[in-house]
Amino acid sequence: MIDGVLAGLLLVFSWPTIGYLFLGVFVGMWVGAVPGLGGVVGLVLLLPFTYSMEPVPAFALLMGLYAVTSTSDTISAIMLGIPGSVASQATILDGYPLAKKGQAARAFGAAFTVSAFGGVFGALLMAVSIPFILPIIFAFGLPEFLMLALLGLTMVSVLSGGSIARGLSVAALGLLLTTVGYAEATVIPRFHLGTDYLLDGLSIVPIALGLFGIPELLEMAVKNTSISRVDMSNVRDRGMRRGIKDVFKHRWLALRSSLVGVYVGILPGLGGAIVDWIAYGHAVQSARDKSKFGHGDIRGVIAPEAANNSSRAGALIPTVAFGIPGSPGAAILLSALVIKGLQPGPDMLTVNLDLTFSMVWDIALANILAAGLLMLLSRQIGKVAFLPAHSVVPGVMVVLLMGAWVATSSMGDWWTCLAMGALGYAMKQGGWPRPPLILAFVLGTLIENNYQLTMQVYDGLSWMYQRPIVICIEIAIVVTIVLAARGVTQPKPMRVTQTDNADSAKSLMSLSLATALLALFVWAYLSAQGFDDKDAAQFPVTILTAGIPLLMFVFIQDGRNCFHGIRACGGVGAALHLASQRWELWGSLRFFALVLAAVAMTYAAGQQLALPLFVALYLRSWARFGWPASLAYAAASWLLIWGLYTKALKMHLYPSLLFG
Amino acid sequence: MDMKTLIRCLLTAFVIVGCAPADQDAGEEKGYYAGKTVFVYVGRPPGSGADLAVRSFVRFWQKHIPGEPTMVVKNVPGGGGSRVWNLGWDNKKRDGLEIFFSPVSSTAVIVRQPGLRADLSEMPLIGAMMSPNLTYARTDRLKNAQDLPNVSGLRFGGQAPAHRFSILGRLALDILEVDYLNVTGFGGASDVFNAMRRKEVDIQTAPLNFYRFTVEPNLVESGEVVPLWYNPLTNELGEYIPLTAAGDIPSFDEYYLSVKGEPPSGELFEIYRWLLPNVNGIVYAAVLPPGSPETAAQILRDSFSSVTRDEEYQLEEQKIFGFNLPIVTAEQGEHMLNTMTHAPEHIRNFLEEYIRQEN
Repeated sequence: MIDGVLAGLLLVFSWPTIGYLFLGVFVGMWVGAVPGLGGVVGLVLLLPFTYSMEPVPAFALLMGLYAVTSTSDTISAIMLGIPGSVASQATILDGYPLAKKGQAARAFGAAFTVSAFGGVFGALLMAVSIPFILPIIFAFGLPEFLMLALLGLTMVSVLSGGSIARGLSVAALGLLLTTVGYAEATVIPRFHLGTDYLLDGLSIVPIALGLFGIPELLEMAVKNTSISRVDMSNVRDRGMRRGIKDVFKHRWLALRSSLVGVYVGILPGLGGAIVDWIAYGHAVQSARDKSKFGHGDIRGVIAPEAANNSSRAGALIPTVAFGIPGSPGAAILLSALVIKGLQPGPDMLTVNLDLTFSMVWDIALANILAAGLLMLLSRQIGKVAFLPAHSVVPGVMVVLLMGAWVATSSMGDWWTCLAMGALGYAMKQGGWPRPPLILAFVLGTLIENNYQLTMQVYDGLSWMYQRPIVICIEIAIVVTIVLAARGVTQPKPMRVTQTDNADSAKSLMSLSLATALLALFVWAYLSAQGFDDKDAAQFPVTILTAGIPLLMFVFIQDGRNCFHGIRACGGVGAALHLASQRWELWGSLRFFALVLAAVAMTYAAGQQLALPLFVALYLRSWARFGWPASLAYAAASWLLIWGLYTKALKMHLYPSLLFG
Repeated sequence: MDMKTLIRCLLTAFVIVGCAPADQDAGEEKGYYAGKTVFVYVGRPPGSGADLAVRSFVRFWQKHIPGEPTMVVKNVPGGGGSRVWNLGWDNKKRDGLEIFFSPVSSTAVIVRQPGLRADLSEMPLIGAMMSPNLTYARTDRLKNAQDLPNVSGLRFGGQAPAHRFSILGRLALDILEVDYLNVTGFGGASDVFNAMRRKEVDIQTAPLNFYRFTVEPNLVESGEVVPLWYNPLTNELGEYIPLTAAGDIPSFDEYYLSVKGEPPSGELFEIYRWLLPNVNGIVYAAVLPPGSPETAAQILRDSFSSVTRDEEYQLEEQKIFGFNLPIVTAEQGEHMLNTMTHAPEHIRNFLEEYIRQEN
């Protein structure tokens, strides 16, 4: 094996392999940093170039990209509160508050250092784990996958702020959204409202971008504040070095999180989605002082970033050595193996061991390289946090809308994004956690399939008490909920006092949201009763049976809080008036109107014209920029759409009604 | 001008005039796609078997189309594979620059599944490929491959209930009167395979290339899995096409004969026989939106056919699939799509009912 390790290292350092690795890293950093693109888009872009290449340089190019997208996606998570990919969701919880405090560079320093550490540690650990990986993978059957997904979902629901009932209700909503369209095991489409778009089911990208991105951009635009709420001159010791020091200070957390990343990452189809949450949960539960989590605790950045990078290495070996791709990215790597005439399987651990180890080294080196390069840039990127909102919002909005368009190139994706933006705004104002919705959406199909398959294969519920790993996970779920319920792992639920108008506005919005969701859940429950296929109804009915009582609990709690709030404000009219001020209602409606105008313009003239027009309109009418600056910004966004999306990514834009 | 020069001039003029239409055609052919970008849509995600097949074909196709246009593959998965066909059906750009090349959801076409709006028989077919598949089982509970009908309680792992592997696998087991449990709803062939490795299912039907690259090296060589039979391909007359790529694995008919001592027959077998040329016969199809120009369709058909004769492509196919995928001409394919679209009532009713059955 040592021979294989050394031979692999020599292969990576040979020319042109090392050059291709650098190229892959550059492309990976770029596609990871742009919201909506990510590793799969990058791999698809690079795959055709590898057809005529030798296997080692071809995999250096692909692995360079694959390894680092989860490092550079941290940028949008920390700076904008938008998850660049599923893997960077947990980073938002503490990374974005750090940026708001003017400590973006510190968060970057910690994130990039620990990403490099996680990537290298994961690759090395995976290399020595090869002999006993297979028994671990196959110890996890359908019931274990199901329970592990539920554990991940529980952790997110109770750890991402707000009350447990709200967190679980949001998770139920996320699961319900996955039931739109066709399911794997059923023959009828569900909740598609007669539209073709919904028949295909919803896509994760527009949901995530809308839910997280739009509310943050809206707030920046309305308040005209920079990402950082603190002026640059008032922030002391905000630099990257402090972030690096943080990693050394919390080195054991980084080590434990990397271990979690590797061994959860090897689980096909599941690992990559929950690994950051399990690491984050571990960071919270193992900390003595938990009060700062969710408000900018650096440990909340270190744990998920270590885990998501080490999980890339974890996912590689099952793909290469056993032909089990754990994610869409890994499936593309598997294709590349087949194109090169290589058989994934035992040969990769014997005849082609040097190639397998060259891939492990690719991951390790790519992570070091990406972390170094991003650190060089992080001081400059961090300064963006201090720019005035109006110079940031229109550009990011263009990238966000085009990112949503990447999913299926359908206007339905934009409507989904906007609807999720409105929902995200209401959730933010009402104090509801947003991350559970995304993770539930990612895991929903897996949970439904594994539930139905488990019931078929294991005949009944005996698997719940006969399988040791299932029992362990069940205990972990119960412990997580009990600890959270005791208030150990989360802040106290809000209570309205007579003097707190902010909380009054929050509970009014929360009550409105609970009412709307309750109506949606009841409608969905009644609709599901009418499905011809009982298998199609089973999963949504199960979710709703749990979700409706939870929402009713929230509804009652919010109703009580609202009642006190209204009394404190001196009547319904006064409470609504104060709440609308607190919500910045008119400014928010104006922002949505402007975005809707961009959508309408797109129907008429296509994105190539509509989005630059939106930029110009925003800058002139809202930000009061001069014509030259507005037009220059609009021209730059035109160039971005033309160069990046239509030329580089070969995307089709919406056909213009006016110009054909 | 002497006679000799006159004859020479006349001959030259004759040659020029005679050749002109051919050159003009060639010019028109070359001109149609020169400098253009052709988008090829595949209805499966990146990294899937279909994506791999289409991308490797497109690499060579590009060189065979006169004018050598740029070809870009786009993935539009969704709707159980129906979305890509709906996209082609609704497509307003009917200029031959958008090709829809994807696995045909044969059973969805036959039972007229609600999600599939496209009428594939109305979309100009460029070419298609067949793809053989086979059934294999875990050896824990079988003494040997012949022992299958004697064992009860085996679990058959299938993808979506309407997927062709689910239908063909189940039909074969039902014809053999095997006592089995149908476990349906796996996301893809590799998910069923993983469940098989974990001993959660015992039998699977999957594409031959998947068997060759994933199942054989990991489980067959270690003796954990044994191949049972392959579901044969048939020609337009319904005759079986010999499948050398299957090696010594028997066809279903041969397997049945070896375990039952007589050839298969009966209503279920008739349905199975009807499905073979349609469900197995046209696995990957390339079509244009309805109303696309015939010139473009013809150029694409000729180049499609030319790719399949390209030795370099055949070598690539060997590398990727382990064998060469049999090709379906546009004429044969259009006939098959027409037969599927207008399937006899009793076949459609049977399939609808069969898909809904749990076991």
